[in-house]
Amino acid sequence: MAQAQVTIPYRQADGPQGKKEPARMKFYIDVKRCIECGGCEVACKNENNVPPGIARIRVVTINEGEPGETNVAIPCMHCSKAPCVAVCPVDALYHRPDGIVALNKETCIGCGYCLYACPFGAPQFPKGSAFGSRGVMDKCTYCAGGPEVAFSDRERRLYGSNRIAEGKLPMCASVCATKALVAGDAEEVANVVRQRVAARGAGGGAWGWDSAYGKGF
Amino acid sequence: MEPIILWQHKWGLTFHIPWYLFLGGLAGGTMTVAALADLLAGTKERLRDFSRAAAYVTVPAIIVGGLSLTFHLGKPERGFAFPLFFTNYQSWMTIGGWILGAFAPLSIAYAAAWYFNLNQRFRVGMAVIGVPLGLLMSLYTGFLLSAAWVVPGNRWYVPLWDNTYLPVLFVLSGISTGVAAAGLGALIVGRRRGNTTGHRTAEEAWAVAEVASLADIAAILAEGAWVYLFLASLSAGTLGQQLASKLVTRGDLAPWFWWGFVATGLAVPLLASAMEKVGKRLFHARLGWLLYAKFILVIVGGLMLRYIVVWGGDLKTPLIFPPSMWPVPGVGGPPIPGLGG
Repeated sequence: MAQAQVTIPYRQADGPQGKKEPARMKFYIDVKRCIECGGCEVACKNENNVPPGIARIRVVTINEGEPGETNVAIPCMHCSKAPCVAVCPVDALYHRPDGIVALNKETCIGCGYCLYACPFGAPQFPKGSAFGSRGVMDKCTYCAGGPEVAFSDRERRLYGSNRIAEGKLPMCASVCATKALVAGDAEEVANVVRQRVAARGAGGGAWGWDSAYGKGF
Repeated sequence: MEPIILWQHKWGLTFHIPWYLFLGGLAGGTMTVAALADLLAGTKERLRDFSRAAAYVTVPAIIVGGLSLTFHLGKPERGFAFPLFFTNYQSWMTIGGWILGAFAPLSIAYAAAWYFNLNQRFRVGMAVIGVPLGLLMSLYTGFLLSAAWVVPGNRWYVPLWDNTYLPVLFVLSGISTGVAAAGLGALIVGRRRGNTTGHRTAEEAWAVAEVASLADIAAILAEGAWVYLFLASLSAGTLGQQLASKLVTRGDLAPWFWWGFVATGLAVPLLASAMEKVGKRLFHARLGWLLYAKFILVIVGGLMLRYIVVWGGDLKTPLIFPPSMWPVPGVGGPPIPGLGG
């Protein structure tokens, strides 16, 4: 898939062959910390000029108001074996070397198959008829922009900001008030999770990781 | 344990996809019926006429269906030029594009072969391809819907689109609506030709339509049994599957299912057939209109089934949050049915 040059983050430590290893970017949502403030939703929509009616990250709440109320923010989980990539007929969705599942809006034909394949509800379509709006899908990009020249006007218009190319993390994780939403390389995220579990005791379990990443990274 | 159910709407928002599933299945059914009748006709003129009528019915069905499908896309031109753009050969949508791309020209050519009385060997050759291709038209859509990912542990993200039951259900529905449409076509064509060539043609068309009606009864019974097995299996499955089953039989889709599909598509046609038989045997009356009505009802029932399946696809597998994840240590939460609390 011929794209503009993609800037991906690398791990700090070298890989087994002494070569630089691409990072494996992922999200971890600490359900024990999420307070449903909605800051991630707002920050994302603002940073990426998300089309109306689409929430690239959404906070979902169960047991509202009762003991055991749990909130979780669900972005695109950038799955290792992404079902959206598997079903897309035109290969508009693809894996980047850093694990981010990226979308090419030029290629997308708006068929909607990815919407039915994703367990997390990440692919969404702007309101209005598919035909009228050329019906392309929109989803969380991990703030990594898209297959355009980085920081170009076109990229900003179609995909939103490209924070990864700037060396930053996604906007949602950056503004999370309680650091419930942890983003970054898999090793770093796992370290954070390990520390938290060690501090407060087990009984968490990384929600959504089974579907998104299978066992392990 | 409170599940989070994501409702997502896309294919059920407009008429395009349900109508394509319906018309594609119907066209596949009529093509299969036409091809089989052609291959088995031998010297029987009436089977040949039946094949001709069924072949004619296929063409508007597949054209309208295909256009409906293509104009659902955000970029319809890329749908027409699918060989260039559909590069993921592991996606059922690409496979389906090729099946449709092969079926539509074939069915038009087959109808043309009848209409222009082209070389018989050529036409029969197309019939040979037409039989499996027509069945594939319904089958692949069932696989496409149920391939909306399978999670390890045998969970589907769209619980209603079960990959064990949906493909066969679509094939059975395609056959039953196809036979009904072919029967209807034969009656209409026979009647028109009967007006010009005499009573016999209409009589023969009638006889064939009666056979089609019998075949339809078999298809309806098979379809009803299969739907029962399908829903029974769902209601004994995972939470998502149970919710899907409830949605169809007791929830928002229940009126459409019971009145639109079971009554209109299955029960009343069977009743109409029975009445027609009784009328003929006991009263020696030919209730012709019953046959027409029956075929129309079966066709409408098939459309209703596609709508129910597509609308039911809005229900995604619940995202489960086990209590171990709920933040309140020691207190837990409300009691969980079946798990204590």
